[in-house]
Amino acid sequence: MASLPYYPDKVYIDKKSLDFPLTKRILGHLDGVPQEIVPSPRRKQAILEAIRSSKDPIGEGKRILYLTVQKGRFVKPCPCTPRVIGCGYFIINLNLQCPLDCTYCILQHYLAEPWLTVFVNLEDLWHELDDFLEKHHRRAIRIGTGELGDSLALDHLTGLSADLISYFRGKANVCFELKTKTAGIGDLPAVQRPGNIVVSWSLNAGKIAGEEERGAPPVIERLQAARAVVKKGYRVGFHFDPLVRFPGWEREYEEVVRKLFQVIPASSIVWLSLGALRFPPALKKIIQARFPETKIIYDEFILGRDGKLRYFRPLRLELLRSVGEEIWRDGLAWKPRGKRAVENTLFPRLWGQDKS
Amino acid sequence: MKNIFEPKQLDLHKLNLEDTRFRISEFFSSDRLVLSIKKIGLLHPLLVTLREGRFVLVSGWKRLSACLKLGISSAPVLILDEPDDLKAFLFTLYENLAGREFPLLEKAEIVSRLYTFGMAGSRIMKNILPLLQVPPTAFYLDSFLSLSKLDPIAKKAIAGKNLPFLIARMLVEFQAEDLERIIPLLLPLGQNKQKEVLEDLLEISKRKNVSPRDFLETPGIQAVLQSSKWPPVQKSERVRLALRRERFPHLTAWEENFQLALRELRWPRGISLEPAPYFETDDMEASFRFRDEREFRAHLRKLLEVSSRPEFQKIFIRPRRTSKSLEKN
Ligand code: SF4
Repeated sequence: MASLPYYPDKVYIDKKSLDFPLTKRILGHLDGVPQEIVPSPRRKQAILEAIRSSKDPIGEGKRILYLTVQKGRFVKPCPCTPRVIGCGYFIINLNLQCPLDCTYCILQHYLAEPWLTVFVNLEDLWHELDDFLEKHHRRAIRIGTGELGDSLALDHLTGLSADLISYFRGKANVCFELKTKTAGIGDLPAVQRPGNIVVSWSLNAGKIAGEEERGAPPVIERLQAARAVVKKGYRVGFHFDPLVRFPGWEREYEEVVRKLFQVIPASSIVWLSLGALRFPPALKKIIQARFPETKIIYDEFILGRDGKLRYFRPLRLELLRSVGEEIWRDGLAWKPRGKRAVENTLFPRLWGQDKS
Repeated sequence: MKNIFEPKQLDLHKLNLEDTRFRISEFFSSDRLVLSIKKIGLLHPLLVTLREGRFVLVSGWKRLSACLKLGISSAPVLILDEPDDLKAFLFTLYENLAGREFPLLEKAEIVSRLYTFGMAGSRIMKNILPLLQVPPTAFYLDSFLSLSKLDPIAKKAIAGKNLPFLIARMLVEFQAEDLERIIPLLLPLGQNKQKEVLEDLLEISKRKNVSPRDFLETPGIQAVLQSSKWPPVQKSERVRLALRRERFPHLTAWEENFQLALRELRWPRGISLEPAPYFETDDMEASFRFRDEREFRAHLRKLLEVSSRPEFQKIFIRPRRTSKSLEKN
């Protein structure tokens, strides 16, 4: 079943953000949605307090959109887990929170404000990006918007991806990534290939996508969206993250990998990443309260050195090895040989894997 | 608030004891109060009010219980002229707040009574929870409301063993039929182990889609519970270990395998050998204490000797696992 584009129940507009073009653009798409101007920090706190005192502040917050001005920096290095190989990735914080509602979403724990925030002072972003790229002009930069929210889930309201693409297009040392679980690619303009813009999707086994990724379309729709994007000239990436164990996971992940390479030509894929389910203990409590029917948090998790719960090592390795092998077999028709060859080939390159 | 009349002596039989709408303390011992009343009499009158033409007790359940134990048939009371339950209850709440700390279950009853008498959840959160030294969040409001509805067997355990909020809150997750089986298992254990048992049992039952009571009926657990070989504390300990094995089958298999290898190797006493926590890496740590060169060399000789045996290899071998165990779960 196709998932519907997101519309909030209410929009709050920070008084300071009223005159920005992006505010006007967003509000232009929200005719009929109740709007309220937030005149002061005090009023803002009162609204947040009301959301927080509801039974499910996170779920409640997802129904509310807040337009404001980014006062801090837009561009930050990826907050990698301590003591693991840093990913060298930069994130652009243009919007916070996500209208989708995945069981395992770290944002439930990570972000202080439960509502969906869009920062509207784009001019400041362009200036900051100019300075940032000037400073790093000798270095290859990977940068993206999908860390503190889904890159495309609000695009039908904000149109930001088109702005970002036109900014980054042709910047030779930069690879810009839009990361999503949605199929909302309508606003992406065609680009010249081979470009430096990558659109990437999170993929998962059908069972996990169906039961644990509320509001996200089925995997096949994500793949069809990816194919359409390839036709528009983009290169694509796929993140098998989080890989989750459940009865029958081998078959289901095998199926997704097979479908991936049936639908998407391997030559358009610039990267694939794998990561097994992990979460801080505080998120487990949130998940238990918000999704009492889920079983995914009751597997054999141990407390890692970074303070996150992760699968007991042999289970984790089995998951990563198995899906990694599928990718090799189906995507590359080749597989490294020898004892632990897949791990040895994969793991040093894996996103955020333990140095040891 | 309307009026409080002058103290008067009331025949205690005139009190409608069935009406417990204002009662917040249920599990208490009145022995010391009995002694005090016996020696010096009841100094603080009970607080009563009229409902449907009969007196109901608003405040003073412990004092009343002590009076009844002593066979006292009349006692001094203050009559509260307040037909609104919420206002009458707030009166006694504020009176009590000044004088004492409320135990966990009384806090739960206070929250529940206020809610029943019509105070909005948001007001309880904002105005009452901080007075009870409880964080003013929806989680705590819900938790205290749930605690007030707990089965009496659980309430008795919480009050009797002075269980902390963390453990009491976990009991809320279980049904009355589960609690009947769980509470006796829990009580002989320390709080950390109580928490572990509850967490493991709950998570096993969620993962396997069986009720905790059904899981406790499985033959392995029943064999422990039915055995006359062990005292209650050992039974609880064995059940705890069985739960852990069920909850973390692969981890416990690795741990047991490692211990077995050490036993087979007859690992020297006085030298400890520890794998990395949860076997997260292949690192191991051997350590020993020594006071002089002679002791140091003796330990080294033992280590050399033990590492030259063929069984030494076994400490590096881990059990193979398959995904089948997950299919079964
Ligand atoms: S799509 Fe990503 S950001 Fe959105 S809820 Fe799911 S995990 Fe969170």
